[in-house]
Amino acid sequence: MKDWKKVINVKMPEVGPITKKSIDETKKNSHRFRGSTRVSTGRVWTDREYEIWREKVLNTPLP
Amino acid sequence: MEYSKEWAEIVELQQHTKNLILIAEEYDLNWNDYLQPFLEQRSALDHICRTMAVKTGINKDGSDGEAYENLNKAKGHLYRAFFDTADWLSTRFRSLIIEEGSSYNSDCIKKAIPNYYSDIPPDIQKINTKIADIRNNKDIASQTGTINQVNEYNNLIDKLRGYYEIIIEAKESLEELKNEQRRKSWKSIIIQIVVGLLIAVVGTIVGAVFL
Repeated sequence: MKDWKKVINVKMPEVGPITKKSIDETKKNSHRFRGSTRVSTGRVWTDREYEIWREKVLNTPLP
Repeated sequence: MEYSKEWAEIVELQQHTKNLILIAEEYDLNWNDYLQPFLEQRSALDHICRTMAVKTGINKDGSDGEAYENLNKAKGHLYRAFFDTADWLSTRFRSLIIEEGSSYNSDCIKKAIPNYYSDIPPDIQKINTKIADIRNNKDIASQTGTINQVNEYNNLIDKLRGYYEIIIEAKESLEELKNEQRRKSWKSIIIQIVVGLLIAVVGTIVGAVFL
C-alpha cells in the first residue's frame, strides 16, 4: 500500500461491458458499498438493452 | 494559471455533462442510469490526477509533455461522456415524442400543431443524425472547435425538449380532435346502418307488394 506512487501512470482497470449478471452482482453486494442508489438497486441500462432500445427508437418513424 | 485554456474547457465540459445527466435521469424510461458517461468521467479523473501528479511534484519523473498529454486525454474522455449523455437524452426525447404523438393521426396533429410536419420531424431527424455522427467519431479530442459543437448540441437537445413540450401542451387539443373524429366516425357508421336498414325494409316492402 505504500507504493501508491508507482501506480500513477498505470491504467485504471477496465470495467467491461455492463451486463445483467454484473447488475445482479452489484445488487447482491450493495450493502458492502456506499454510492449511487440507482446503481445499488440495479436501475442501470445494460449495454445490450441500451443498444436495442436505441436502435428501436431511432428506427421507429416519428408520428 | 498553466494550461488555463484546457482547464476551462474541462470545467465547461463537466458542467454541460452534469446538466444533461440530471435531466436524463429524470426523463429516463425506467429512471435508469446509463453508465457509459460515468465510466468516461472515471477515466478522465485518472488522467487529471496524472497531470496533477507531475505538476505538484508527486511524480518527479514526469515531464511537462506528459502532463499536457494527460490533460488532453482527460478532455477526450469528457467529450465522450458529454456525447454519450447527449445521445441518451436525445434518444429519450425522440422516444417520448413517438409515445405521445403516435396515438393521434396526421389530421389531428396538423390541426393541433400546424407547423408540426414542416418543422418538427425533419429537425428531429437532423438532430439524431448529428449526435450519432459525433458519437461514432473516436478522435473527439483531436478535433478543433469541439466545444462549439458541445454548445451546438446543447441547443439541439433544448430544441428536442421544446418539441416534446409542444406535443404535451397540445395534448388537450389533440384529445379533443381525436374524440371529435371518433364521434364523426360513429355518426357516419350509424347513418350507414340506418340507411342500410331502410333500404332493406323498403326492399322487403317493394318485394312483398310487387313480386
